[in-house]
Amino acid sequence: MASVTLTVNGRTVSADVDPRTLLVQLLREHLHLTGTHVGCDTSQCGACVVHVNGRAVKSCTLLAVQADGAKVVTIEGLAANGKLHPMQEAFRENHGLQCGFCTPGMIMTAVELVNRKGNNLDEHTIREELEGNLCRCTGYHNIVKAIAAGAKAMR
Amino acid sequence: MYKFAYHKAKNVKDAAALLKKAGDSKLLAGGQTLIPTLKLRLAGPAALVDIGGVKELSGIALKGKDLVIGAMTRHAEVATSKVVRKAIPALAALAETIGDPAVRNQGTIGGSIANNDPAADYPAACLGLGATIVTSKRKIPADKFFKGLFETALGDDEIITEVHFPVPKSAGYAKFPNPASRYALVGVFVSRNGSDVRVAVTGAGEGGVFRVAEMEKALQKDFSAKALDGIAVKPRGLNSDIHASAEYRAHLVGVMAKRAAASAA
Amino acid sequence: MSASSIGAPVRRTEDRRFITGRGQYTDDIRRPYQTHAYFLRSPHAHATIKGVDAKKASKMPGVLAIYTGEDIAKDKVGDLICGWMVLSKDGSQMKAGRHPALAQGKVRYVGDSVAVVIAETPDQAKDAASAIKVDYGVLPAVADAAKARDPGAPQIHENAPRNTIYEWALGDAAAVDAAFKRARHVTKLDFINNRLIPNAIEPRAAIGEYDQGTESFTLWTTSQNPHVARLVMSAFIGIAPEHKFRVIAPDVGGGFGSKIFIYPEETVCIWASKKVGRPVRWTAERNESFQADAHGRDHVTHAELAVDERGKILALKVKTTANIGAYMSTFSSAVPTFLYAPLLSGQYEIPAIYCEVDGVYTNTAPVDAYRGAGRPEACFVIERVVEVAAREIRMDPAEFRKRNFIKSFPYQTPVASLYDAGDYPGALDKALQLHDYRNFGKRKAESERNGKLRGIGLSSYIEACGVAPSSLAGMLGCGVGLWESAEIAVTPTGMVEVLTGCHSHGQGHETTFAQLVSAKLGIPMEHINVVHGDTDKVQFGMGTYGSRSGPVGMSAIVKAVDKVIAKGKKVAAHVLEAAEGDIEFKDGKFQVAGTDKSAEFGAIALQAYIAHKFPTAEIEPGLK
Ligand SMILES: Cc1cc2nc3c(=O)[nH]c(=O)nc-3n(C[C@H](O)[C@H](O)[C@H](O)COP(=O)(O)OP(=O)(O)OC[C@H]3O[C@@H](n4cnc5c(N)ncnc54)[C@H](O)[C@@H]3O)c2cc1C
Ligand code: FES
Ligand code: FES
Repeated sequence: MASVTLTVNGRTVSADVDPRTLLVQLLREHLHLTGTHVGCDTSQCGACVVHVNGRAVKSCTLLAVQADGAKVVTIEGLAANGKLHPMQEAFRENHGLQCGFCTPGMIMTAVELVNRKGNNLDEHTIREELEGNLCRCTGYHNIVKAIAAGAKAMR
Repeated sequence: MYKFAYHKAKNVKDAAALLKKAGDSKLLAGGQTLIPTLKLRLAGPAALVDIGGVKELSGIALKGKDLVIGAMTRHAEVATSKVVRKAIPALAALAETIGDPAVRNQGTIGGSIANNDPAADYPAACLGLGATIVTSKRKIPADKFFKGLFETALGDDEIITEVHFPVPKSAGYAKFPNPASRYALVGVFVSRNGSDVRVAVTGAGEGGVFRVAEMEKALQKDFSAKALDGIAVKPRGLNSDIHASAEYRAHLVGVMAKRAAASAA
Repeated sequence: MSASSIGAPVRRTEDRRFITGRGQYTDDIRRPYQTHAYFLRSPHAHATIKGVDAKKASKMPGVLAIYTGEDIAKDKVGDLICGWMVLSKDGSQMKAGRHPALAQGKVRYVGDSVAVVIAETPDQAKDAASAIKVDYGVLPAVADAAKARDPGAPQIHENAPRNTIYEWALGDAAAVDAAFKRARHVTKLDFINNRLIPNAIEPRAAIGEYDQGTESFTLWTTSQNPHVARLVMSAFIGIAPEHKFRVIAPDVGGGFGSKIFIYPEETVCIWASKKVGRPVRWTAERNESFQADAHGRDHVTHAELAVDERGKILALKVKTTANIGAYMSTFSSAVPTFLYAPLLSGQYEIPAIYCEVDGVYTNTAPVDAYRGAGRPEACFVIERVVEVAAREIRMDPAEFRKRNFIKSFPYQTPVASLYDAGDYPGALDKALQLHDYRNFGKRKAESERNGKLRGIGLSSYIEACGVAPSSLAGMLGCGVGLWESAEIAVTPTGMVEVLTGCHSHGQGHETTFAQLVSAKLGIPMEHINVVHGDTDKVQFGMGTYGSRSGPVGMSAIVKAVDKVIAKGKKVAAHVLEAAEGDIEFKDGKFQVAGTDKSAEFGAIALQAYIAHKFPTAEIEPGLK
């Protein structure tokens, strides 16, 4: 067993885990933060994207022990004091989701994208940046629209 | 994943010692190749030595005529580094095409090179720029480093510390990505550094990344896309799989080489 | 807050929980003392199981139990079933092979489950599974439907000689033959509609739980139709009596057909939960989704189209071999037959059509309904053959289509479907205009000059949605009716609960259905709650697939709302001291016609529950 201490959505948490525990397992199984999803075994779908020290990473491809000491933000930590984050709002406004399973990863990816590339995002950039997030329902069109709108609203 | 022990290395020396002590062990860098492999139970090392916290392994700097990139430097850092963009813009552009943003935020140059996936991008840059791979034990020229599919000159407890890229006069990279993973179906890196002209191909070769002498000769005379007209690589020795036949890859090598040369000229 | 009208753009009610990470998908649910199942799957397409040695594995850390097909047999767990009977041309019944939840004696596809390990953690279950030794006797295998009936092809199920499940036909063979004799031109085409894997982004999952105190079972599962799952699992598989068995399909991350069916994994989870005395959960890894979710399509087809000298279609002949896979999944028999052949007429007037479909076993994952299920396959056949015919007789493909479009309605096709209305030439003209079809040649020539290729494709499509009514379903051999249920329960404060037998897994029913009820009752959407996916709450339902929730599910809701309004009028008449016939319901108000006497919907609801002075022989208290 290995012990890890990290900040998740602003709260310090510690756990004793088998070293093979993935960050996503720590979040879902130990902390019951089930908004972060698992959709694949090959690090391709992006349903599990969270922020680690401000960077979007696939929590299914990071050991919990690798995140020791890190600041992690999950979809549950995005809305501040019950007020939706502008990107969350934009997904709802633009019908950027159907079944909702890919949505947390999409939103976390989108927020980091805006942090990196700014508030004015063209369609091409958004589509390129969504390379690591798969959605089976929507056909992406409204996701792209939502992200462009959310980016502006994050100003 | 099978069970393993986990060690966090403080520095390179520590990492080497841990590797040696643990026996059947593997270095863990960004984990973007190793963790999926472990998850699918395609490998089961007894121990992992995490070099994620080793500060001396990451960083980008211009040293003399070389651009030096630490092994733990993430793809995203290379892609956005002002230093890289100025010295070897093609290298920054290459890093930007690797996988997806989350993979780029985690994956490292050292891990990519050590892994030597036959479809990975960085090996093409190393060979195409005549880089030197510096390890905890020695310096290895790229021409001697890549040994075949997932094979390198690295010894068991040898750790890549830095990659030295000679800054070329010009360079270009073009890849035809696999639409699902963004790995190269075929990627070609070309560069010119005085009389040294290099053409390195990834994604295509049965034995991994390789150089194309005939193209290099043609580009030495005239460094332009046009100079490559009529030069074709043979399908023999190229990969055939569900994504593309050897013939198709051979064709793509020609097309990508021209695009790379055009972007470099 | 005001009432919504049908068609008004509203924001989805369900989104709030999804965008904040508060959805509740099956794998998000945690049960006290839960255990984890891992299925050991066959790496061989076809093999006998000579022995399973789980001695070492069962002693590994965390392992609670390991079960194989023998345990399933010992406990008399019934086989999985195919719920739609298809008869062959000669009237004989389809030949369904046995489908035990864990393989017995033989594995028939890569991914067939041989054993299940139940352990304290998923990793421990997987560790132990890799320590189980299975002694396989590898047999020759056949994966290609076209080769399944070759002489010498391996026999997959004993009761299905030549791997043939049925040889089904629809249409008039004699009329077709006669028409072909008159044909000026015959187009012949062979093609493959390739197999595909549905891959909903949420992998399938199940949690089985047994309550010793009440001797009842609860199953949480990624299902598009929980009631049908309960029915099949109690009536046929025999796991639990229906009234002691609750099936909950919570938030489901997409289905695309693949979550309609009753699979081995949930069957094993619910059965094993009683055996180990603790909840048993399983979530598929993506590679298991690839191996063991029901796949789609996989047809090998030969089609012939007879055309006369004026370019009019005379007849269509289709012969399809449908790959059913290694076992017959829940609705597998109907997809390449009843959901396929009746659409082969497409949008065209084809006087005679004859279609033969042979369903065959192969050593591949079971094939069942996937997006459109049978209907896109039919569209592909007719559109391909029409396109090729047009080219062969050198007629513009748009012109050829228009010439053969059905123009007067109602139109009875020779393959059972009756079309009530349509304007096919109008739609095509519009598309051609939008695309500037006339000048395509110019654009193509220009592209050629630039060293590029340019192409154009046309296709028309007709779809039979809604998969109903029950009478037709019954006539065609379906094991269940295809109606839908709805219940409207009004609370004393005038809030409305809509219980529907449809299931939402991305469709947005919670919004659409609420909007419908809001428009009908004149109350705000915020006062309406749509409940679905729980057999303990919703009386019954057929679930969601085949685009049926709108046409069938919402029709049921309308009927239920009408009943509530009718009852409301009774109550209003009593409260407003008027004759029932004089009460009108409009904009959320019950009003005495021609007067200004009225009462709000909520007020009447309250009165319905207070019921102090009700003539209870005429009006029962409550509003439902
Ligand atoms: C979805 C996805 C898409 C991808 N697409 C691409 C792509 O388009 N192009 C591409 O090139 N790559 C792609 N990759 C791979 C990615 O670039 C990896 O980051 C890279 O191959 C490995 O780097 P890492 O730091 O993650 O190494 P790790 O996974 O940590 O390690 C990989 C191997 O290298 C060894 N190793 C790591 N560091 C060192 C060192 N310093 N010295 C010696 N040995 C070391 C490890 O022991 C291990 O065997 C993709 C990966 C994923 C998951
Ligand atoms: S679950 Fe992490 S990328 Fe799919
Ligand atoms: S909304 Fe269902 S996968 Fe994206």
